[in-house]
Amino acid sequence: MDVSKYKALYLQETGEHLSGIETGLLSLEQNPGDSFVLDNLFRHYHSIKGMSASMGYEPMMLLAHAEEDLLDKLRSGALANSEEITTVLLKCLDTMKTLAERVRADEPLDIDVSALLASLKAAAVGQAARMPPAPAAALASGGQGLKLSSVMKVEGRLFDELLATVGDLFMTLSSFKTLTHGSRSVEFKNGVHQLGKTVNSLHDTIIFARMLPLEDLAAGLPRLVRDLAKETGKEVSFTTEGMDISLDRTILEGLGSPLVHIIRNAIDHGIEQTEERKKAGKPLPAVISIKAVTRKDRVVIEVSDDGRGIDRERLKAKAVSRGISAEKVESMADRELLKLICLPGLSTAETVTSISGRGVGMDVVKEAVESFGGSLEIESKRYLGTKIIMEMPRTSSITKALLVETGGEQFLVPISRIEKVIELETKELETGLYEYAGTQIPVVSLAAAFGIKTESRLRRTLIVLDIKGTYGSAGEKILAGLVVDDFSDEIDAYVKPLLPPISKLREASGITVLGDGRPVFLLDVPQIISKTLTGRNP
Amino acid sequence: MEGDKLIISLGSGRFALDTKAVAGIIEQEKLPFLPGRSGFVSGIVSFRNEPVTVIDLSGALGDFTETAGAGHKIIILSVKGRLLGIDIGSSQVSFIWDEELKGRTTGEKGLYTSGRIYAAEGPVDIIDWQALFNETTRLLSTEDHA
Amino acid sequence: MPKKVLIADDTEFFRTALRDILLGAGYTVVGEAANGAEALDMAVELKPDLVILDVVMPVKNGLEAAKAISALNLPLKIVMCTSLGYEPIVEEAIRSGASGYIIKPLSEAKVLNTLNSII
Repeated sequence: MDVSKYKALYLQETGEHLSGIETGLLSLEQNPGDSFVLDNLFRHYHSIKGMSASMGYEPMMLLAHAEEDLLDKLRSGALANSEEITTVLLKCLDTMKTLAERVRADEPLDIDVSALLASLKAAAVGQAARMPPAPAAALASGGQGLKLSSVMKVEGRLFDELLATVGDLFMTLSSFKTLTHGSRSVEFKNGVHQLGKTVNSLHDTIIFARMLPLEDLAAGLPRLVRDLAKETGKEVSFTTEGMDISLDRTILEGLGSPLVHIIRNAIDHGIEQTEERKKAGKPLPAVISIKAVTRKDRVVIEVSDDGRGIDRERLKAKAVSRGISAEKVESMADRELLKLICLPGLSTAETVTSISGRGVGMDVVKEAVESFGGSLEIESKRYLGTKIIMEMPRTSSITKALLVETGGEQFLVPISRIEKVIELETKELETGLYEYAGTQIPVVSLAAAFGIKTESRLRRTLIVLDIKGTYGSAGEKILAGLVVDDFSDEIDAYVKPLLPPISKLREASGITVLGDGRPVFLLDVPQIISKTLTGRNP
Repeated sequence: MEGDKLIISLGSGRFALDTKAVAGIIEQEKLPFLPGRSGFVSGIVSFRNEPVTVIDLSGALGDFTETAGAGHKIIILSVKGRLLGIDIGSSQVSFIWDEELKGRTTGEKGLYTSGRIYAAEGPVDIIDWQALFNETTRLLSTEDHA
Repeated sequence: MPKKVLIADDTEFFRTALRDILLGAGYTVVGEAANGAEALDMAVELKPDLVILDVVMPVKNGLEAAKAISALNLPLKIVMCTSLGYEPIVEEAIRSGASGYIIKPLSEAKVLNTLNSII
């Protein structure tokens, strides 16, 4: 039986089982006798054993088999779980990850697992486990950044080409659609309709093929927290929420090192030593949590710790010592002050540690987040903890947008800016102001702003927008209205950047080509509105 | 200057484009709106799923007489990944092959032309597409039309 | 008339491998279950001639599923599928109504010989 064709499936499922094992082992550290977790672990090892045997991956099969035996004893109660056992299993996990990587890379699986097997067997008969050095640990703990599962190893360029091909399909489709108008053949019409649906779903599939859940990134974090906590001798637990939210792979990957930096900082500088926490009457273990929620088409990721928080006075002193005037520092709003920790080299910690050095990387974190069009906020309560809030786009290219029409021309308005869409009689909009939610907001006609001729009509559409500069930063919304003739669908637009010769257009932030071949601009609404209003009141 | 040429016959004369730069020719009734359009920049179309800025060739060459609404024939130029659409209205196109050009080309330049071919039917100016592209970019930069 | 088979295994890897072997031998795969509870539901709903049950599965394991399916007296045969070391469970399944067993790792010959011997 030719098993090579099952390799991709093997790697995919083994990868899932290995993540499951990692999660399971770490939760055993909290609750060593959890029978549900032990049962699941047993099945993970069992599955890996079976698949590896079928594929002929012997070292993997041997490890999984010995681990399965060990877990069988643990789940049946024949053996009590201990920290030593969990540690042996974690060591084995590293080797299994390495083996899986070798399978993926078609490299020989010539890793000697006999020492690991011996310690698994010793553990299974209740002897203290001897800890062999793990050969080529898959994840250098606390070392580099996080690793993503690489089930999808496809160059982004390929997706671009696929999309371009689908674009051609759309064009062909639209000529077929035109032909159906003059045709009486129901079969032909149905066929073209069906083709349209297929092309659409192909298009969606390609776009969403790039999306990966946060889970893929976060799966490595419990281990990081565990290792860093062990290293610093602190007691830290880790929780996650909303890790099923998916993001474009590129953005997810870009979040990897910011997350590691933030967690390192939290453990190293934020969280207190056990004694200090006891004295302060704070609960043990300390908690680091990551919580993700979606906000319109973006994701907000909060990393919180319940450590000592940021010392403003020390931060101010540092800022002054780095050349920022004392006057300026004193007059800063708290939110701005906290952002000072993102200045290169500015740290509030007195000691330099091996883990995070001098408060390493908050400047790097901010830069990384902003490079993906995201924003960073910091909240901190003295003695209670710190929260780093990152708001990111979920995709680099797909923007939820409303298709609007004015004077027969179509444009896209990003949904993230839209507060409300109101259909009104044209005469209600003549004053240039509109009362919305108790305040007068300025109203700008898109046709007038662009110099597009429109026919007179009784009713038009008012789009109430938030035109605040940086998306997502805290503070009041700035509302304004944009008048268009009409609006139609909300679409997931595959937005392309503006290239020369239109790269300097200020009225638009991108362009998309609709399914029927029409190019449509994604409007830069704050630009259009502020430009028009500036012209109105010089 | 060498290579096959696509010849466009406009009211104001005949103009040549390198066929190597021509990615395709599309016909369209109406050009979608391009924000900030000015001068000879007339709109935007899509070609193989890519947006292409369109300029009005007669306008660029100084002839601003309104062409009767007979639709738009747009030659899509693609050089080193940069795209530009040249709207020639309803003008006719033809070709001159490389062999026919030997010894008939001079370096006489104009604002947007880089040479001249003395063909049997009369002179043909060679369009300097790079100059057109640069001017288009300038026209669409906010500093210039704000 | 090709025999209709229901596959139950918690790994897609083995489901795919089994499906490939079965389809290659002219069987029809009417359903694929990822745990014993699904297998039970699908056995009732899809009326297969044969159910192949992995032993170690979540929710309801293969033995529990074999017992539950046997108890329904459906006109079908049950084949257990597992790796070495589970002989006692396989024996118990056979006492409860399973007709045969396949030991992993799978091979085409093993699977088809077992199925041919019982159908």
